[in-house]
Amino acid sequence: MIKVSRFFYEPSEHERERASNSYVMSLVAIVAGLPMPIVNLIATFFFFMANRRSPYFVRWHCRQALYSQMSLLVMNTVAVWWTISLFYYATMPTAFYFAYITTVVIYNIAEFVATIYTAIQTRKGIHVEWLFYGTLTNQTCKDHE
Amino acid sequence: MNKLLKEGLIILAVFFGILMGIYGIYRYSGVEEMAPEASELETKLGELFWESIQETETIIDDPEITNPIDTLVDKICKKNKINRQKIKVHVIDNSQVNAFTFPDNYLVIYTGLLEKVENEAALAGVISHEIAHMELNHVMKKLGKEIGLAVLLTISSGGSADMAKEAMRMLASSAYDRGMEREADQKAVDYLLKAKINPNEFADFMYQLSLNEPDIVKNLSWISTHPETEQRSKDIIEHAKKKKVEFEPVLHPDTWNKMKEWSGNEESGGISIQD
Repeated sequence: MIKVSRFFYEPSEHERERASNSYVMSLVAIVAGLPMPIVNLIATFFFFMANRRSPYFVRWHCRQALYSQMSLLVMNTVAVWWTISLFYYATMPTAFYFAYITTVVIYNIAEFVATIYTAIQTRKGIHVEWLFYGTLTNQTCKDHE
Repeated sequence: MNKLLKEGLIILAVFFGILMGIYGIYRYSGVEEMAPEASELETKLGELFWESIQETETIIDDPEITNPIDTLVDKICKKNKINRQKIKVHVIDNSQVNAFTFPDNYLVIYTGLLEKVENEAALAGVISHEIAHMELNHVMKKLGKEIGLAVLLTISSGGSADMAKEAMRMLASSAYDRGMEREADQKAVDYLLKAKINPNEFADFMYQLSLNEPDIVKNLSWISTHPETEQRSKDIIEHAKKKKVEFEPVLHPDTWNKMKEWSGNEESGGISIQD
C-alpha cells in the first residue's frame, strides 16, 4: 500500500519540514472534518492553494495529502448525512449502516496512521508514495510547473 | 493510466471487501435485530396515541361495521403477504371522510368515509393506501420530519400528554409529502391488483371527492389533505392499466349493504358503540 524510496533530488531541510507539515495539517483537517466534512474540504483547498508555488518535493507531498483526503471527504460526507437522515426521519439504523460506519472508521484510522508515518518519513527526507494516490500525484504534479 | 486505474480498482475492491465483510459479520451476529428498539418506540407511541383516541373519540365495535372491513384487510394482506396480525383496525364515529395510520400499525377509519364510499373496491383502495404508508414506514418518517426524534422520545417516555395529542392530531389531519403519497398510491394499486380488486374504483372515488371539494371540503379530511387529487386519480388509472387482472368481489352484497345502511343510519342509533 505504501512505497518508500529516495526522491530524485535531495530535498533541503526547509522542504522536508514543509512537506512533512502538509501531512500534519491534513491530520488537523481530518479531525476537524470528521463531524463536518465541509471543514475538511475548505482546509484542504486553502492548503493546496498556499503551496502551489513551493519546491517540487513540497508540492508533490501536498498533492498526495490532498488527494488522499478527497476520498475520505466523500466517505465521511456520506456517513454524516446518512446519520443525520436517520434522526431526521426517525428511522432505526440497519446492519448495512453500521457496516458502512465501521468501514469508514477503519479507513479514517488507516489514513490517520499512514499520515503520521508519512509525515515522519517525509521529515527525514524519505519519499513515501501511497498506492493509487502516489500514482495519481505522479501523473498530475509535474516538476516543471 | 492503466496503473492508476488498476490501483484505483484495488482501493475500491478493498473498501467494498471490508464493507461487505463487516456487513456479513453484523448480519450473522444479529446486529439487524436492533430493529426491536424501533418497534419499542413505535409500540409506545402507538399505545399513547390510541389512549388519546379512546379518551376523545367514540369507537365502533359493531361486527356489522367491523367485519366487512376486517375481511377487506384480510384479503389485501393475504394476497400481498403482509402480516395481518400486526395491523390493528379501528372504526371511529366521526362524520369526517377520513382514514389514517399511526405508529405500531394502527389503521383508523372514520364512519364518514364509510358513508361516502360507494363500493367495496373504493374502500379497499383507501385501506390499501393506508397499509402502503405503514409498509413503507411513512408514519415514522413523517413524525420524525415534522416533530423530530427527540420530541418523539420525550412523548414515548410519557413526557407530555399534550405533545402526544398534538402529534396525533397532526397525523390525522395533515398529508404526507407528495412523494410519499404517490409512492403509497402506486403500492396501493399493486396491492389491489394482487387482491383482484379494481383500482379504478379507488381512482374514481378520489376523483368524485375532488369534484365535490368546494362544498364539502371542511368535512373531507382524507381528500383535502392529499394534494393533487385529480392528477393522482389519473396516475392510479395509468398504473393500473399495466396489468390485466380479472376482478373478483370480496364481500357478499348483503354484507356491504348492511354496513352502508348502518353507517348511513349512525345518528338514529343503529350502531352500537364502545366508550
